[in-house]
Amino acid sequence: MNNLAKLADYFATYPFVRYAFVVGLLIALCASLLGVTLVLKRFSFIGDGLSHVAFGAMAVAAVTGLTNKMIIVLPVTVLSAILLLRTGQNTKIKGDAAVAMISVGALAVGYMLMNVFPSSSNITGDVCSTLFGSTSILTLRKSDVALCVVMAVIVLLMFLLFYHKIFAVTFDESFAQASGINANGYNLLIAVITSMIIVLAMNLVGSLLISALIIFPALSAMRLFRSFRSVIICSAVISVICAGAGIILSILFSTPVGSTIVVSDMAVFFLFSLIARCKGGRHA
Amino acid sequence: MKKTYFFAAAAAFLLLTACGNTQTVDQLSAQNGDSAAQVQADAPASGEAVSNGEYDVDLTQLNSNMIYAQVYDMLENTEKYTGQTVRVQGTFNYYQDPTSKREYFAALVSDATACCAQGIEFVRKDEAHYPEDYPEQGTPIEISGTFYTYTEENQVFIELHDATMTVL
Amino acid sequence: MGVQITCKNAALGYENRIVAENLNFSVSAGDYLCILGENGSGKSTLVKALLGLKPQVSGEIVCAHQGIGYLPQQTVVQKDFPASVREIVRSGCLGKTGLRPFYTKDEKALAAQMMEQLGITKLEKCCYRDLSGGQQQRVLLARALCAAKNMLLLDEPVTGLDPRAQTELYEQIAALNKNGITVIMVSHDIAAAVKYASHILQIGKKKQLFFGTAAEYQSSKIGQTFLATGGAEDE
Repeated sequence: MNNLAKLADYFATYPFVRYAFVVGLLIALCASLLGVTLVLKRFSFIGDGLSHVAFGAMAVAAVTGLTNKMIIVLPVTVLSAILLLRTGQNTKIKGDAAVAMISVGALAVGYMLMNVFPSSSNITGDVCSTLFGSTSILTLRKSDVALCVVMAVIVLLMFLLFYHKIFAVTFDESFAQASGINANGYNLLIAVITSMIIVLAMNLVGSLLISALIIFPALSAMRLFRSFRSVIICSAVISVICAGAGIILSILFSTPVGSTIVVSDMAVFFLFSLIARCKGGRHA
Repeated sequence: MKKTYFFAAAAAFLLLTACGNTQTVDQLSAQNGDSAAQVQADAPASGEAVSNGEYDVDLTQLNSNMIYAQVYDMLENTEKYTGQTVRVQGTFNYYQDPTSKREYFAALVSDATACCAQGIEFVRKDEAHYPEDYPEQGTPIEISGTFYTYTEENQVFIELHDATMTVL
Repeated sequence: MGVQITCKNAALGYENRIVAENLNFSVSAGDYLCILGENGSGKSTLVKALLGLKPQVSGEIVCAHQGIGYLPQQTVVQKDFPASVREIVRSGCLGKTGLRPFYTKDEKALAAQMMEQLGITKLEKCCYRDLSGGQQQRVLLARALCAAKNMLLLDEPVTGLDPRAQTELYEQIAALNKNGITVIMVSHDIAAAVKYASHILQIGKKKQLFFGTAAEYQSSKIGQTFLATGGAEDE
């Protein structure tokens, strides 16, 4: 049976394959939209830090035995995002150190908790799937899908509504502030949306690989495109295609979902870098 | 013969796609599933489709990612699979509870990263005693049986009843 | 000539650390005020106060914060930013959009007009990071003009430009000033300040050293000292 037919069959037969696609593509879309802003604002590190915090929160949720882990994970991550942003504002170096401290701390505490109070017999499995999201995207429940769709719609709406403001705050915070835009408010909004996406993306690629999902499409798009809008659109397209391709490949060839998506993102990045170099742009 | 084959395939298809929302659909699909299994008893195994009529859920036709996801789905939506015939390949695993002396036999399936594994317990149809009638732990085996759940200490476990075991 | 900004005995800084005090000056419509001062003298704090982003610790600053077209110093982020000139200039209109998520025809027309005025219409679709330093500053100036009702506040606009681009930018700003726009410029460049500005405000460590017209500055003792040393940072 050829792969295409096999894929069509999986689609028709298994609801979890359909769920995986819906959720995976939505997360990829949201992550890439925000990724452009985060990369340009030099906030990529916050994304990385937050993903570790989300891991820690996930561990706490697992230990307390909650069925709906989001109840803990989402607020904790959002709160840390706000906290990180606050500390980051004062002095650069302190902010960096704070991110490193919080993220590594959360990682350590999370792993420790999972080992000391094992909630299931398979700790390595739990840790591994939270860190690398091995197949969790294929094990979504209907409620997970619903939650994800709602959150993705919120993120997309926010982004569309505040697109120009987000651009202004990203490009030039001082000017935005001077023209009466609440730059700190928008920074906060960006941080909150980022943490929402990170929590969602843990299902798709696992917490260690989230940063890749956020930065690679943006960086690839920036190789070739020269206006904010085209970069955003290109980044979204790249991200969605790579996520789709990654999920399909991993289903067909049984590779880990998260790494397959990230590897395809990387492939696009190198391809775009190559094209940019061939075109001889000065930013190749 | 051909007609019945189509009917069986269609029924099995219906049963796997039905997400188990309403009770009637469940009952219907459960009935269909039984008849499908009987009808197909003498049909040659096609080995093509996932649910090839011989088994409602045939995990041997899937790759490791899909197996893992499918087993997870079975754990999550037990009511949807109860009573269905399942075939699975995995590695043999044995455990005896030190206090209750109850014995557990399982086929272990892992995902692609090999860090997550799910065990599917089974109870054999034939009289069998451990260790003489079982292979060594870790041996690849194939199990087919009927899907049931049981509750122990407030936790729901899944199990294949009336199972036949083949050492691969 | 209406007075646009009055600053009386203002002290700026933080509760426990005053960076500048006893600031007394006023700006009338059509003025070209140059704010001179060494690093750390509180120039940027004054800019923030004028923009209404940081209230003064004591004293009084009367100023219509809205409607000031601000040209901040370039940041690292901007150097490599993938944005078209048009996108940047239009963002100058954002102060007027409120919660509306798009630009109106009028706002787009205004942006186009400002690009025309600064001679960057040709660059409209170019990427900001591909422009020369002088062109980048003109883009930011056009953006500031979109936000400005009648006043521009420029924070060291010629920093990092080559001499020719500096002169061009100064001329451009002077031309805008002639058209009736009030200009406030923070600068290091005393020679240019004396040449182009109508008024000069010099702040030293914590206090105001001079405020008056450019002509008065040139004949004052402090002005002569600074002009002689080329506005060196060492006092």
